[in-house]
Amino acid sequence: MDKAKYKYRLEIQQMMFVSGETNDPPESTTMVIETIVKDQVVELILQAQKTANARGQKSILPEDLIFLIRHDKAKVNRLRTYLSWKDVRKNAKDQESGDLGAGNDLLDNPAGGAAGAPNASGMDNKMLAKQKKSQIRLPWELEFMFNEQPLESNDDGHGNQIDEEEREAVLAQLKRLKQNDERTKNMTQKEYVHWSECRQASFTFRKAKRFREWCGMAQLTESRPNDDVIDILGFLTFEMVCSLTEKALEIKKNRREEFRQEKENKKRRYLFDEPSNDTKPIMPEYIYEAWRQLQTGPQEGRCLYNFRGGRLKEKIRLI
Amino acid sequence: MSSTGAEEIYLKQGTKSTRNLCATIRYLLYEKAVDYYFGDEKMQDTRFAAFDILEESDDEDNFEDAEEKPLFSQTSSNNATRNEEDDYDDDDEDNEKQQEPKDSRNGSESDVVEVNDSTDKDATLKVSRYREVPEEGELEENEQGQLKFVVNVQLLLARPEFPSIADSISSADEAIGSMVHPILGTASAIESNFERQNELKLIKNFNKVYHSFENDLPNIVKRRKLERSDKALELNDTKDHGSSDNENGGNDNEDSQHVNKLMGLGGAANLSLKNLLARIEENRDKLNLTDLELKNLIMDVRKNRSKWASYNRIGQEELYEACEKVVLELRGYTEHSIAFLNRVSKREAPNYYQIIKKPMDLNTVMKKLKNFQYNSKAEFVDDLMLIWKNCLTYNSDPNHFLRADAIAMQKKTLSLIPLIPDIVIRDRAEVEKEAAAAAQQNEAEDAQEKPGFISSRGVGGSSTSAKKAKKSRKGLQEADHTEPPTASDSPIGDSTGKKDANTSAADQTAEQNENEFSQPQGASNPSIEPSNASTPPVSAASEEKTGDREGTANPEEDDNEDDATAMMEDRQAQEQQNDRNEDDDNEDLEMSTWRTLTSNTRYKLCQQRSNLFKGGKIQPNEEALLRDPLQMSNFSNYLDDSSKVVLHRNRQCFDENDDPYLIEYDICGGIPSLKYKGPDYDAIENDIFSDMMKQGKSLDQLPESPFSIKMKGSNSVIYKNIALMQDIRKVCFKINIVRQMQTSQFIHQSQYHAPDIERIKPEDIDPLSKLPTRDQLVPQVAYAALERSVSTILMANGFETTNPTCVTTVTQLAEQYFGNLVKSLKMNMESNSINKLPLKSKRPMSLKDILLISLQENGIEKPDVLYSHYKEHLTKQNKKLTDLKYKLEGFLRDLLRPGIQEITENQFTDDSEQFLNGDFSNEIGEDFFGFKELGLDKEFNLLTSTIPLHLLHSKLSNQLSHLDSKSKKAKYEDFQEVQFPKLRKRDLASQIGLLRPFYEDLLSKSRAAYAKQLKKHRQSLGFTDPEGLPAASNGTPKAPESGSAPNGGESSSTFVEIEDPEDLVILEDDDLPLKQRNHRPKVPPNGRITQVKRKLINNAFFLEAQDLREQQPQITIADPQTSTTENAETKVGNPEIAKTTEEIPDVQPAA
Repeated sequence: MDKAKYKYRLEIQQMMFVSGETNDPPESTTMVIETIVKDQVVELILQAQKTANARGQKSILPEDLIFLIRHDKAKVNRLRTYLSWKDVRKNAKDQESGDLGAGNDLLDNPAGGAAGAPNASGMDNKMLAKQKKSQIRLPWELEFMFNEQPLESNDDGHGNQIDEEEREAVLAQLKRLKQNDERTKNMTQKEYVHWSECRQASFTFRKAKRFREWCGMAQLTESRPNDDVIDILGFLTFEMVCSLTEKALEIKKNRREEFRQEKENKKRRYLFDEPSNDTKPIMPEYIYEAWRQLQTGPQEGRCLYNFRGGRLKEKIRLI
Repeated sequence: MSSTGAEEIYLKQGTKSTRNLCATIRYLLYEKAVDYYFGDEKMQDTRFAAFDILEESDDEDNFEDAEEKPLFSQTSSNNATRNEEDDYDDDDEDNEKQQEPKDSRNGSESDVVEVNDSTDKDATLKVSRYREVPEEGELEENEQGQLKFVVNVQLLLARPEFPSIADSISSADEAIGSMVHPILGTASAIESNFERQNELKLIKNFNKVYHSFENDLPNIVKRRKLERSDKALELNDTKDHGSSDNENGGNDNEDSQHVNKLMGLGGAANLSLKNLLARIEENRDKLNLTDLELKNLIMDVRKNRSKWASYNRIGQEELYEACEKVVLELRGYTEHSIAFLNRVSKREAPNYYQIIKKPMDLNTVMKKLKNFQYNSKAEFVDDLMLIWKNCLTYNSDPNHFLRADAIAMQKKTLSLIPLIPDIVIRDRAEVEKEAAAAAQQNEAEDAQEKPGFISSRGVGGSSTSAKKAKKSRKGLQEADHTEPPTASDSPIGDSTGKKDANTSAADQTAEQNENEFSQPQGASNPSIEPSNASTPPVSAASEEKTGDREGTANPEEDDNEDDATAMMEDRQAQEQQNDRNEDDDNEDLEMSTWRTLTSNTRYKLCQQRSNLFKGGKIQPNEEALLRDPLQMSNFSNYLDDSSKVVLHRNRQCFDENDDPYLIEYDICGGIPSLKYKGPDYDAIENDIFSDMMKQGKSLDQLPESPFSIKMKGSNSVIYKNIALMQDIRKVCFKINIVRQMQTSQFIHQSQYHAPDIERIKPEDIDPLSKLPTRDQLVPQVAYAALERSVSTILMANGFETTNPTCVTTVTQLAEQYFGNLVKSLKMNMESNSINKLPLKSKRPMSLKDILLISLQENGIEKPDVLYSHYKEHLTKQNKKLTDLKYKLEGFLRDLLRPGIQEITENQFTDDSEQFLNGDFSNEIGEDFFGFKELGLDKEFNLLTSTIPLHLLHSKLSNQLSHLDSKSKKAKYEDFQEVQFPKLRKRDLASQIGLLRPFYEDLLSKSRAAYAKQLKKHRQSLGFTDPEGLPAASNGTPKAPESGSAPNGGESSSTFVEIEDPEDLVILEDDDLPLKQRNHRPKVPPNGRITQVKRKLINNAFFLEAQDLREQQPQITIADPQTSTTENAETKVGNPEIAKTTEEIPDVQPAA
């Protein structure tokens, strides 16, 4: 294997750590994961390029990517949140650099004391985020069916809608939070710091160029996609690694239960026994198995071929 | 090339045809691409070689090709793929214009070869033009240098090759039927009543003829030979026609002209019709026909004239018709005629032409007939007899088998000859001359002469021909009687010298082969050969044994007869010998007549059957022999009574002339039809309808058909959603219009018209299926119902309208899907898998499991998916749509009435009518804004003539919106009628301080006015005021004496002197003289206050800046405890101070 091809060992390790793999996975595992992720990214870009072309444009927009994962509502919602926060960050930076000294309207709050300042700005940011989130509107949503859209009103009706739409996402998010909580429960402060550093691992953050080169973006797309697309890809790659790792862990756990019998037979442990299964890192075969399991499932397009024969074209499922 | 051609490609809708088209095009493209690139490469290779050998023509071609082709291949290789795909559907119609069969690949190259020598560009252009007619499609370069893929439309539209019924009724079959028809032929020959009876007797006995199938094989062989020779003859004909057509055409033209002339002349021109026309002319008055009708009638008569008819050659028609019939009859006499069909070739009989000086055969006779070479009966008869004579002279051996044939044929000929009218063809001019002379000499002679001319036109014509026929028949019978002895000679000869016979038989086969060889020779055009080979598709492979034998015999004849062929020929000869024996054995009249009469029919039947088993295999493409219950009648007729000839009926694949019914051959008709015809649904339906009519019911009152939509479950949601969508679209349209009105000045009337959106009504798709007689599973109706559901679903997903092609495609997909579902369900139900058995404590598969499995096989993992689809998709969509509609309506409302945020009850409490009807528009006229057209009046319950005010000043009202509720409370009109008490001086004190200075100002003005009026009054009364100006001094004017002034009637009525100075009326602004009035700002008609003039008011007071500062500490002091610590409080305090300072100017003037 040409090791020079693999550039994201560290990031992948960090991501795996975040998603529950506490042992240091060997390089072979990260390589497998990287290959899979690369495949997925290429597939994503190609499909997005196809939809972009169908729209009659050359460049990929964020919508094209979101369109590909539109059935996974939780993911879409997370992505939306992510994007809105990204915008917030950008805006905040602009504001900070732009008009901090001048009489800032937002800060010109009577209640805004020195202590309350971060809180207030947080509030503002949240509001901003909300606004932003509603601004990312996906063209396949119902309201775009008609040629007039209502003006966006931020009043009462909105809250309900969010609840309705995001329930799924919120549930997923809660699950995630709980998972993270459990993972970090027994951590020391240092460990926690490390963990939170690991959370920032990304394929693309401040490495957009490397990412482009890695996945061969120039060859795949007709025009250079903008930063938003790269960011989304970064987000999605993170998700991919996480889901792969989680699936692999699950498989490992199942396997362990199978082996429990053996363990019981062999009650005593000796010093030079090989380490217990728990302390073993995820090996490539788990990743392969996880990949396989993630690829199975019903393919809706297939059923029309049922009594007709002919070759079946299997598409890669996006994970 | 041009999509503008008249013919448009019509494709059937649906997936199948589309897929087919795609596959065809893809295949063609692939093939072309291979050709193109491969060919290209080859040429490039040869290009370099070609420099050396430019002289060689072949390479030169390549060179030129190579010069041309790489050019565009380089320029257009990028475009190639796309253009090919784009252009496939505008197939050029040029192809259809020239459909010459041509191999596209070879064709293109050979074309270039032609042009090669000429170097000018025009020629090459022509070539490329010429190349536009490929057979199966061609890659081409057009003017822009793009590659174009040209496909013949026929190719794309051609149906996949299935045998069609029309094809299998082959032309050969028809040809045989029409050319030689034994029954017809003999029937025409046997004319006399007596003979006919005789014949009928024979035919009656047909039913009793025992027949076995062995005879069929020779029969078929003979027939086939005849057929082939017919074809050869035909070919010759077509060849000849080139020359003779002109002649014929000329004749025809002349004829038709003549008819016209004849009509014009009163019908005395054509000899053959002369008498008839004369009669018609005599009785013209009695006829109720118009000229046109009569003409048509005569034309009809004339149309029946044969091809032999010629105006200039009198008698030709009659003679030739009879002659042709005789020749055909002889040819059709296949028992014996085979040997005489064609010319004897040198190869068969090397010394033939030494012995026979004037060879003759039946085909030559036919040819001569067609070329009009006979002028009289005698010539024709001579030729015929020559044939037999030749044969007899050449085959001098009395035992020779051909002699028997010749003699039989001779007999036949002799029997037929009397049928031919004895006519000598003469030129018209001659005849007319003669006729004129004769008319001069003797009219009686003339009358005698003419019937001869007119005699036996047509088939079964006049009495004279009948007489002749009678004679001829007698002749035939005599011949028949004489036949047996001559025929009986041959068996003896056969039995005695068998060897001899064998050799002679071999001779015969040789002769036959020679015949075959002579065909292509006779046909000088080599191109006929392939077509000849291809035309008898029916007979080609079915020749089985004989065909094989001949096929092998032919080439090996050249090798001077190998042993194998000798063997074959021996066998063949033996067979023929057998045939002959049989022929001779069954020499009795009945049998032979039967054989002759039925030979064609038998041939056809056997042929048909053998086609099915061509090549030892069942041919799936052949037309099947179907059992036809209607043909049972033939069978039963046959059983019923043997007294009449049973003819085939309902035999659609034979010509209109019925063939005799042969029970042995009938494999289709032997099944009796069912007695029970089945229910007559039409009648039942008619009864039902008439019952309903009686009861006054209509179809609508019947219970609904299964195809009507039940409004429950997801149906109702879907329909609701559609309705919502339509509503939203309407709102959107209105919003759009309002937006346009805001932005653009002028909107065309047509833009107001809302799109006509019909509410979808779930209609019954086939009301007739309510009837109990209708089958509910008719595919068409079910398909239509599915189509309706599909289009409803499409609509519910946001498509306003859908292309029918699209609907069809989607419907077919749905059909396929459901089909798959049911198929897998059925498969799982019927499978005998172990899972269904109750084995090993495993629960056997229940119906539910089967259903689940089938669903899973078809992409539905769990039935929950269906539920969640309903829940998530439909219901949520409904909710969203409702929401969206609400929002959009609110948006529209905002657009229309920007002033009103919300309608609350408070706004209705003050009884301002204007609010209710917004009646501002009296001056403007009805429907000024076109709201009525928009339908907004109904929507918002506006009266037609009212305009919402806020439309007039939408911007202003946005600013004033918070004031709106207050200003609405008091309306000017409301107070118009109210009489306010006049303000007097004494009331002044009770007024609020704020207004007092204003009133005082007014008071002084009005006092002055009063003084003026008083003065005037006094003057008019005649005395002056001693006190001078009372208003100026003390403000107490004396009250003038009212009523004392006689002149001051006018002024006294208005002017009243005031006794009490406190009563002085303060004049209102409007009553003041013009100069003194206050200037009031005017609101322009658009209701918009452009800018507020900021003028300093003279008599307004402002607080000094000092005062302000003095007051500020006062307030802070007033609340010292709170303000000490917090800065924030002071900040809050500041505006308050500002407020107080604002109030101060108002208060100040009072002070």
